[in-house]
Amino acid sequence: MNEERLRILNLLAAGKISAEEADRLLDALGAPRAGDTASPGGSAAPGSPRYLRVVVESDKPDQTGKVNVRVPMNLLRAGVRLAALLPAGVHEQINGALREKGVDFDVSRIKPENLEEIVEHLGELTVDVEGDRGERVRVYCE
Amino acid sequence: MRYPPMLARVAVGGPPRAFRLWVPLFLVWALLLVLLLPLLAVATLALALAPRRWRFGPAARGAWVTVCETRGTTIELSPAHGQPHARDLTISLH
Repeated sequence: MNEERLRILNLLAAGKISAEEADRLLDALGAPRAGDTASPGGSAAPGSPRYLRVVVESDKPDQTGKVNVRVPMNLLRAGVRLAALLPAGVHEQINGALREKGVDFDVSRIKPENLEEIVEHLGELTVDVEGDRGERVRVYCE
Repeated sequence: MRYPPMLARVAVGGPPRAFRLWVPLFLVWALLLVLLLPLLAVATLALALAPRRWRFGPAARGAWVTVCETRGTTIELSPAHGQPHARDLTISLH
């Protein structure tokens, strides 16, 4: 057990922080919890990101709310595997729809065997977009 | 073993007066299984006859894995301060 994790648990035991705060702090440390089991077959390599985080916040909290979404990377892995099962005709329809939106991308090129490489590179990804009305969108892995 | 989210933790409102609810999803899964069995039989037949041959086994397994991997998903929504009747909402799947 590492020192930071032990300190959080001691604070919890001493009643200085609530169980929810401890949960949040342990999440921030990326510590594995009892309910989080690595999935067989789709397990993450040590050090690889576990979650994709999408945060939308604003400089003007009285006008815009805040959104904070945490998606397990294993869910992305499962989604890509599922997408690989789509028939070829469906891929073409998706590509066509993406092209209509100005995204020239071939979804059939995403292969399950390239998945770990994609996830590994996602770990280095940080998207930071600021809007005209002071809203800020951040997408990153943790 | 892989299993779907068993509990959904829902919190409405922020501290100190948050309303917290633990939703037993395992009961929903059991109910869905019973309700979906006839649909599953129809879906199997439909997919077998579909012109674009979906591989039903791998597709069903992939869908199951996707549902299972939703465990750990957390969604937190905080309304703008100017909306007095709106409340914070947090949903997390365990």
